[in-house]
Amino acid sequence: MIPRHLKITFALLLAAALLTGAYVWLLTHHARQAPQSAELQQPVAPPSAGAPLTVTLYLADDQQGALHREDASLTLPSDPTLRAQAVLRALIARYTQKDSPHPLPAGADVNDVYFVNGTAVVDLNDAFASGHRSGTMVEELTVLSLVQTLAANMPGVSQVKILVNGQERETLAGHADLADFYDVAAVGRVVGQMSAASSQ
Amino acid sequence: MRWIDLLRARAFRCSSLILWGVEIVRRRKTGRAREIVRGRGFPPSHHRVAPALALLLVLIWPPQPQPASALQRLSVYASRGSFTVPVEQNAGRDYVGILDLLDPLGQLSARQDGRKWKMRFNGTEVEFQDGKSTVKVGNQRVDLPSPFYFQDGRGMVPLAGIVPLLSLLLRQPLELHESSRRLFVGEVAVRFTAQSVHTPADSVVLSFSAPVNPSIGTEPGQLRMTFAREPLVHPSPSTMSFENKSIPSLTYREADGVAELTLSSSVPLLARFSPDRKTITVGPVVEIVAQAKPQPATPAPTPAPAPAPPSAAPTQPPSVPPGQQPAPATAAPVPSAPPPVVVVDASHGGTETGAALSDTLAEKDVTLGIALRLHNDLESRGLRTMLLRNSDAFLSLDQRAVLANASRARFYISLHAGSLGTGVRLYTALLPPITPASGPFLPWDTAQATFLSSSQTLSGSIAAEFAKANVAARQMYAPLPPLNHIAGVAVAVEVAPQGTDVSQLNSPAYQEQVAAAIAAGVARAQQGATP
Repeated sequence: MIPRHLKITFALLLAAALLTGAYVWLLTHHARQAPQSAELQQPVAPPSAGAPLTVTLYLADDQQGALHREDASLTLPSDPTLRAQAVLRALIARYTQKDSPHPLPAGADVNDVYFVNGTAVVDLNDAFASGHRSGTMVEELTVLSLVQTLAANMPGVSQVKILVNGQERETLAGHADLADFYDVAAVGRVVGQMSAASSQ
Repeated sequence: MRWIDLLRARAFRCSSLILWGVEIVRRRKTGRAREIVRGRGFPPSHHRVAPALALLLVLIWPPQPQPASALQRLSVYASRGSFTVPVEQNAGRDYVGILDLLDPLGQLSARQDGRKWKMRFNGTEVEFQDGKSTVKVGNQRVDLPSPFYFQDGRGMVPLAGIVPLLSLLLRQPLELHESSRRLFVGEVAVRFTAQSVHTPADSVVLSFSAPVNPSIGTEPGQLRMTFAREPLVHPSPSTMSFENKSIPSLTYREADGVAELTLSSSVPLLARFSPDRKTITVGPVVEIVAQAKPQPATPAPTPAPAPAPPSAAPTQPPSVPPGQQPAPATAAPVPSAPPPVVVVDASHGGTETGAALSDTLAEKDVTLGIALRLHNDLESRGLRTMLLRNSDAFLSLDQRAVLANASRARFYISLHAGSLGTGVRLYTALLPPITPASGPFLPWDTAQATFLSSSQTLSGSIAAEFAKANVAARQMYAPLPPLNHIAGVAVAVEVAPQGTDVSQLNSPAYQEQVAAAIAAGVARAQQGATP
């Protein structure tokens, strides 16, 4: 005959094991679902006050190999740096949605944007570059989208330099040049040609 | 296997120990602990319940992640070719699957008969027994240093015992380097000599007894050649010293199934292969490029050489990845030879794999495959061609631009591959609207500006050839290095599949179709440029 206290001990152990198992299963289940909730990781624009303004986003489309202009309504801060960040974050938020025509990695964000005599310096975070797909066209579309969107909403910007985590980098993911400055006029011409070619 | 038995035994033992401890504590209170210690044990009911409870606990307990162990392999070099087989660890010894080992070497069949495992190799009967060290080979017996065993239907033999076993089966001389896991079957060893030379200055010439194809990497102060498929064996001594101020020594070592040659250096080094791939000349980058740079027997088509890059880094050479055809190697041009007309640059290489086109297909391999075909097609059209890499070697973007500009070739074709979209995309440099520089020097960052118009003409010419071949082609601008730094007519070609099947990129027929169209486009541009 098994003593009563042993039975209770085993019952408690068994219950603890079952509860632990269930808890681990729940954690695993949540972890599996995490990538599907990428929108939770999308960048959040800084708080701002005032009336919403219309901004222009240039959205990349992988299938057509072109950028499409789209207007969005945003409440923007008055500070140019925060304003540029808010615009780029709105752009990146579109790319991190589930049905994005040009997916960017979860966690992609802009660390900072600052302006020096007509040159905009965009500092991307590490997740943006390290998780980016590699390929000439896919990288080009990302870079052109960032540059053209920034230029369309920040008048006076003539050049754009892209950094990753505050550091210079040779390419985005093996192809698109990040070592040089992007000339806004040249990018504008290329974006126009791409759009024209894709609509033919 | 026996994992369930092991689990059951451990569960029973754990549960017994727990219950035993609990019972001792309880009985100590009642003064009866000694009875249990003397072997009285538990009442029979404990034996029935405890294993079941313990097993239940073990089964529902979340498994702990096991650290991944490094995959170990044995490299086998035979006259039929080189291959590797996985090495397993058992009781502290290295084991290999006998079928993995023998299958590439001859006719093989095997069957299991209870605890016996019978095999027939090239007409010789071999009989193993699970857990036994003695093997019957025909009428003879071979003693292995540790027992044979089954694992997942594979017969495993100790690595240390394969030489006497294979000697009877293969009837060829065998040499096993057990510590480095390399097995030589027959007289296959490749030997080499190394000699310091003065032309090119401060260089070392490595001469091999057979063609070799190492992968090459550089680190500060050294250049390392890794021979994964070549049965390279060491000279004596394994470290050589040279009267050479740039390359003072060379070291041979072998480990983990590969052989390595390491050249220590005080300057950035470049390696260049001879056409027969039996000779590798390693020397300072400046000396090797200077020797490769042809004399201007004909006026160079480019108006001026490009300036040196901001920082020169060590360069590397070639080795063909498994599955690729032997490269039509880049011959070091003789000093009196005219410059190449075309430089073909297979993008990426070495540790820089480019885009992952599929789980098994890397961009660097596709670009190399197309580059090799393009080289042949251009040469067959009478256009002298230089491949920047003809093997799985890493070159930095600046090195590619420097080598292309130093060659003074008229055309530069950079090859890329992608899984996005369909057909082919032809890129020319994305440059700001600037006035092309004049004079003897070109700015490094905008060296392409002078040639942009000609580059667009070449792009159009190639696009027209793709149209003839019914391959969709699109002309675009791209911020794609090193196009901006090329002082010549430069186009980058990104090849995508024609449909959704990415494996088409690795298809010889598609690669040849792409290469032929590019070659035809270049030839047309060359004819148009020739008065």
